[in-house]
Amino acid sequence: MLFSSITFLYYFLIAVLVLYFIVPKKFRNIVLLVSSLFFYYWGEKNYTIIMILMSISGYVHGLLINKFKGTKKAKIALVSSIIVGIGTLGIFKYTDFFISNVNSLLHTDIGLLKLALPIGISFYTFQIISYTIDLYRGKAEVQRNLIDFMTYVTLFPQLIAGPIVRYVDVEKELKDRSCTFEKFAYGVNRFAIGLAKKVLVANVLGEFCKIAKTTSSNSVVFIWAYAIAYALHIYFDFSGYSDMAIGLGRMFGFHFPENFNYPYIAKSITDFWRRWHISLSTWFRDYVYIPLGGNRVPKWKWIRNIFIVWGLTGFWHGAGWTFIAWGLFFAVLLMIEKLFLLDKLEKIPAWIGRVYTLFLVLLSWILFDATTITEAFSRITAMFGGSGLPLITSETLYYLKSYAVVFIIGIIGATPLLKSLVLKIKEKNIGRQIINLLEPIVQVVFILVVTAYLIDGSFNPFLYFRF
Amino acid sequence: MSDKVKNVVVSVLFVGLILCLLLFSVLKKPSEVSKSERRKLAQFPAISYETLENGEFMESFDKYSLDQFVGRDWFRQLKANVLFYIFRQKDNNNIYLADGQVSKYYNQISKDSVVDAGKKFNKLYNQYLKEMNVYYSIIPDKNYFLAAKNGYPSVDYKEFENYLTSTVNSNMKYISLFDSLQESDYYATDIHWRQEKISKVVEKLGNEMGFSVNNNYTLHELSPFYGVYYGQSALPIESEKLYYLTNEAIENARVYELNEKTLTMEESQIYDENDFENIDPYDVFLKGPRPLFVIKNENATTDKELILFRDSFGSSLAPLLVESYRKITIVDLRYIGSPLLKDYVEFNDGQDVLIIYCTDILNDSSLLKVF
Repeated sequence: MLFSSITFLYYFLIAVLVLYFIVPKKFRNIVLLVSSLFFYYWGEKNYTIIMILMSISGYVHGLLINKFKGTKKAKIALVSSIIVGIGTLGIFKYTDFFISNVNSLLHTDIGLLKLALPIGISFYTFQIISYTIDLYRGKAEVQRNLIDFMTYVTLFPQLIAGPIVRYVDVEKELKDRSCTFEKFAYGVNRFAIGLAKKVLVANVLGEFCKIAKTTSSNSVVFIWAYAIAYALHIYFDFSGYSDMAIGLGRMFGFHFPENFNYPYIAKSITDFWRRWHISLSTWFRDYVYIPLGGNRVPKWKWIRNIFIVWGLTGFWHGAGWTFIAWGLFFAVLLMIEKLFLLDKLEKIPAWIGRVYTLFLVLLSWILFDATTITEAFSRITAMFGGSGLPLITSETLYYLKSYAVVFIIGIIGATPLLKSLVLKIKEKNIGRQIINLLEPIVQVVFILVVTAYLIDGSFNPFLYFRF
Repeated sequence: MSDKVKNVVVSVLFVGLILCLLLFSVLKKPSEVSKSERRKLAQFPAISYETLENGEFMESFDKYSLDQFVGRDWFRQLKANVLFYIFRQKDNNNIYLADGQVSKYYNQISKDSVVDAGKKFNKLYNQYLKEMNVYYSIIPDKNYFLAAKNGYPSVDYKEFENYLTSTVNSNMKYISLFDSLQESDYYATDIHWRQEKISKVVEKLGNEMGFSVNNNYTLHELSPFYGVYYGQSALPIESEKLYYLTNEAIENARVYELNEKTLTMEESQIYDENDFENIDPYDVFLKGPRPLFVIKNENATTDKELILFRDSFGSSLAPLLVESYRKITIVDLRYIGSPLLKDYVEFNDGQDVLIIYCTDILNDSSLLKVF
């Protein structure tokens, strides 16, 4: 089920909210668990059982790690939990990639499994692994209640596209959490903003990208516009989803971690990755990079660690060479920055750093969105006039004019300008009163307009569903 | 408003709004048809173990929730207004407004399709039309007049014509109608031309095919007419009047139509005002999408017979040819396959044949059942 659907907004969510708040507190996790399973079954009926089995596996492994705490058996249980998680993810997500590569390398003809990727498996697998590792490290308490554990894994607000909520983030709230008007209103606010970001900006820019990629009247300006549109599209799509997830979580009393912090104002690639998909980059930092030794190792090992982590980050996004190349592209950039460039970037005017970062990030998204590395290179070459395309065509001009306002909204929305303005106004009492008056009005307008777009629109799945 | 009050207001408003819209959607009588979108609306799906297990229920429910949402047309209008007037987008799903007209642009000619249409014409010729006077024409869609002029993406119509004319057998004569029409000859909210405005087209066809018509018609009007783009644009555009023409020849003509169930020819009529209430009011002309008509006019100005291969534009063109032909056989190849024609159409040497289709059909010629 999509958050940006009438079924979710007007049937599922309202039913769950009503049920959640009328049942006694002790049954609230059961309500969340059952509704989350229903939510998942609605869109992924064949693989609901996989998610349930993965949750049970995480739960049992947790009990074993706790039981054998301090012994070798605990380590065996941990390794087993990781193998089960990564193994399942590997089977569904990467088997066909490996088979096709073996086939092309060895000229064999091994049949592909052609398994559909269970929605959200990359996210809930990482959540389960974070639990068993943190438990093994003594950072988390064992969860003995299967309902509570499954509620954590399957919690519908963050189930299918993150943020990757670690068990320790919600450990206490799984047992005891409060729901107040303040939290609920905050949740509504974040949810409405996320919904508007997804439906009114991301989807519209997605249309632009589709047009730009399929036009028969291409131009250099059109490809640049496509690159910018895609960068905004993926940001508004994914951060919109995270906003909705965080908002929904807050309505039910959970505090999920932030996943984005205005990444397009980053002054370096290092800074960018501190602001983009934070829950994923910190996951890799804490569970892969640091266990490998991080940067407290000889330089060659440190370089190796960076390449492993970013190769894996790329591979996590998709079973394809473009994704691996995308990850390694960042590995190279981060290494260069850490070796010498970062110091220099900190000394030069901020705008130069921002332009440098944006330019490289734009190139990275072209690679990310391409089906092959050759296609990405061909687009990048065309951006710099290397494909003999005209600078601009009348069609390019038409679409630029048609989407200009959405581009402007997207660009402004990707910066903290609006947020800073609101905070500034709120500093004064009268300003605070005005914002408080406007907030519910804006939310109602957002919901009505989004509803209008959903009713008139077509199916627009979230980009991160496929990861 | 204090923070506390605001939090309560936001929470209550959110739940209240969602709940109200849900209740109104569920409690209202389900609509069968959307007139503005010209389609049937999804109904509440059947629940069974099977539909739940195979996912059919979920898929159908998602469609139902969209189609039966309370104030669906109002929400569609809201979206169109936000898109046009706030986001300043120039089209809504390719529908645009220019010069008081609503149209839907396309920016790619499907060369394969246009060439394939030409091959289908050739096949038809080889099967049935040898020894006849065969003519063919393209009816330009109104983007020809509107799109490029107003800065909207457009196609090269010369190229379009070339794809067809270079494919079609030279025994068939091409009559270009591009200069015989202008944008005001089309309904503002519809894809179709206006019957009362195509006298130049008839004149051009007459000059090439050797007939003439007396433009002495009685004008009839029906209103309100909402064309296909009215619903698709979802904008509050004014309705139009639909006009049709009659004269003595049209009124006295005998009309027969192929009944698709009994496969027999039955009496019919050229115009039926009852069809103005159909999902597509343009069905007033020859009852809309039908495979085969025969119009006989014993008092025609000539003894000539015409076979007209046409789409819905031809439905409003055919009546204007009645006075000039003793018999007109009207075939819509979208609804009858070419192999069946030998059973229902009399092909005689010396007959006139006009194959006339609009650019939309030629650009998607898979619709033409010529085998």
